[in-house]
Amino acid sequence: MERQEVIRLEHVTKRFGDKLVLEDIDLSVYEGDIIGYIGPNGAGKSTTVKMMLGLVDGYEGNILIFGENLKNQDHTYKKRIGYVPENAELYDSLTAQEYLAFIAGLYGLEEETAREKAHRLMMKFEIDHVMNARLSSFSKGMRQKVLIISSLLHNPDVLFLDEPLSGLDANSMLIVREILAQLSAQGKTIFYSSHIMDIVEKISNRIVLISDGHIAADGTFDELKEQNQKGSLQDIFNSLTGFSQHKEIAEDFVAIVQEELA
Amino acid sequence: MNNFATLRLLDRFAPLFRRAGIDYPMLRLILSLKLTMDTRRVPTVFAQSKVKEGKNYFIRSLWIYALYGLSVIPFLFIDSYFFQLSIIFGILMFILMTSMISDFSSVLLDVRDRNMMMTKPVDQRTISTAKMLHITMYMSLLTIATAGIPLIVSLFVNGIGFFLLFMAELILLNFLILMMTALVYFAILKFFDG
Repeated sequence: MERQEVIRLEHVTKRFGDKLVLEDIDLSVYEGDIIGYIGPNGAGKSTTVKMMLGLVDGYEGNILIFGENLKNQDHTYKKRIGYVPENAELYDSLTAQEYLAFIAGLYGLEEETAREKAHRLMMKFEIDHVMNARLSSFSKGMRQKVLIISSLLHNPDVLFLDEPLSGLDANSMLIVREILAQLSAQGKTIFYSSHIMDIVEKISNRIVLISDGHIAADGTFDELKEQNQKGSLQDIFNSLTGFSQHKEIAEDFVAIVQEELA
Repeated sequence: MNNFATLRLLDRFAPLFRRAGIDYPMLRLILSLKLTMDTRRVPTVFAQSKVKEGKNYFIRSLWIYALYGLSVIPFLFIDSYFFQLSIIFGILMFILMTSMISDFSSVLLDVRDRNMMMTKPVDQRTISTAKMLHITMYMSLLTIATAGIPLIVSLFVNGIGFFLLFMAELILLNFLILMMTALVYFAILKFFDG
């Protein structure tokens, strides 16, 4: 079966003021892809995701989602997209149940079915006992679980995840990883950005490395290993971003910390 | 979180919103969420006291504002309209604006809304309308609580003409305060955005 193209970026360039954040990015994403989107801090990862979600505009080039140019379509395409933002911003004074019902409502889901579905999903994540507690009392990991549920309630075709595993314990991490793998097997596209290389290496079936506003590498993990003659994604990441002095920097840092206070 | 008198009132105008191209069920959903959060936010006037679950703190805070409002009543008995109203509006502006800045900053400035709602299939117009309606509701409740009693007293002391004029000016006052608060925030964010 021919896999369909879900997202396509054509010559996308983005500036913030004078600063060039993304330069001439071309990227095609197909259904079933789990893209590990990696890059140093401030390389433009979040910006790319936000542009595709319509949060940031004022870019040059074209972004096509489900074959339609973003500039020519209204908000309805977002019905097929799920998004887990990088910092877990939730409405703290709501309960988990209310929050999920609200998000489901925004996606146009029936309230009763959404509540029921949310409850069952929360049971699977073992957070159903705090369903009616305020989100302000939730730990980082629990919030993350709520966010993951909220992004999946409407069964989206494309999922944007920004550090989705942060704060989760090892067991929950395993569950989420498996969820992602199974979703992708059903033809969902997952766009996954993270700084934790081990996880990206294991989860993704394609890795896109962005550095200084350019795509520095694009391919499966094995292809990248082949090209760079390195053993782990961490090493590939370091060599592609031209970073090798971590030892010296660390030594300097420790030296400064240990300086006698005059 | 679906049982607000204001929302039921709004339901009557639903066809009007639809005609304006606004997604009314979505608008109602956002507003009911905002109102629910309002009832749970502890207003500045109660910041010192203990927080209990399940109480509508917003409505309770309105009583305090009504108490503040009582303080302008004596000025209604001053002979010269000029002094009378200068003092009254001075006091009202101060009360409304400070409460606006302290309590409502979380609403005017809710940066979470952007990430939360813009990524969902809701159009920008509906979100803006919901925000505007929410601010209007908050301002009207606050103004009615603060200036309601003085307004009624003025009806008896100064007559119907004064009463109507006073009411009209209160509405204009609200617009002014809203504008000024927005400007203050705009200036602050402009200069102190880190």
